[in-house]
Amino acid sequence: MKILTYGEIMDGGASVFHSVAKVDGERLFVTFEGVIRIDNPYRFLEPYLQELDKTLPEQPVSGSVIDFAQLRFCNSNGFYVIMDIVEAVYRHVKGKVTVRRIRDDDWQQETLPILLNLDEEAIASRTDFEEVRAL
Amino acid sequence: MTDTPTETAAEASAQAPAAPRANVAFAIEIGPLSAVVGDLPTVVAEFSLSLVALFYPMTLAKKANVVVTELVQNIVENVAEPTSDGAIKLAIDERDLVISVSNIANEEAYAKVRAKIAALGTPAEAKKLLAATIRERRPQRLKGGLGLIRLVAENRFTLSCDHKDGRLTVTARYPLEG
Repeated sequence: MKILTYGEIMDGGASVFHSVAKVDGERLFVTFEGVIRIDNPYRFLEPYLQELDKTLPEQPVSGSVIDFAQLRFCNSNGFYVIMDIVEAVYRHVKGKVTVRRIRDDDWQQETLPILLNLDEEAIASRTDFEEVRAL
Repeated sequence: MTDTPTETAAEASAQAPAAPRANVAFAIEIGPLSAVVGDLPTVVAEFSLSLVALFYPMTLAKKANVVVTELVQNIVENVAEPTSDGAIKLAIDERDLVISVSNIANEEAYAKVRAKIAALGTPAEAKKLLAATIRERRPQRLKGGLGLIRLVAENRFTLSCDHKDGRLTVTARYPLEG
């Protein structure tokens, strides 16, 4: 497993959210963990987005997993940055994308498909969901 | 020590006989809102999550978390009257979960909120509105405008608002099944 890059949100001196992009074999894994509650997540995650745009096109991978199973909360101020991270994966990496999400989480079931842009056939045809129980 | 596998809290809860539904309520008054220096939405929302989860399934506690976050964020970010206080109430009984947030606001602010709520419609309509609003606002990364829609589209609350004695109150109601 090779870690490519990561982004982190700090609040009150503690890490409250992080996203990691890593490669294992021919698959890219992008994980989300923690809570997004702050006013402007771009203040912390802009460098991560830039790094994703730089490193993802160079990866010899044939599929991706985007894992939301440990993202416990996202306020509406966090929607666009989630969209930007997800979009970077779809734009730069070919192949199927498996989205791991929590089965009984309203946000992940109702709003996440909007943020993934599943209305677009090109996105929907590449996307599978893996439903998991909350940890 | 024993090698017997222990069941998780969720599994134990699923097997237990249905407990009587508890009455849970709290009210917080704070002010002036302009004096808040920390993350008020997070503090109140995480308290709500923890409190509701003591008595009800986590899915309901998460709903309370989202509603308190978005409504309290609205009054903190849109303080029109710096001396305004804020009042946050949460109550659950066997029928529904009700969360209301109020602050001092003028008629114009009330009219805007009332129009927003009227435009939401059913959860299915609100979901379309959420998608359209995200598409519209994303290029400029515009803040706000999604919270109330989310409460209906994603969490299936019914929203209402009123304006009495100069106070705007937004109320979110979620019926408990069964």
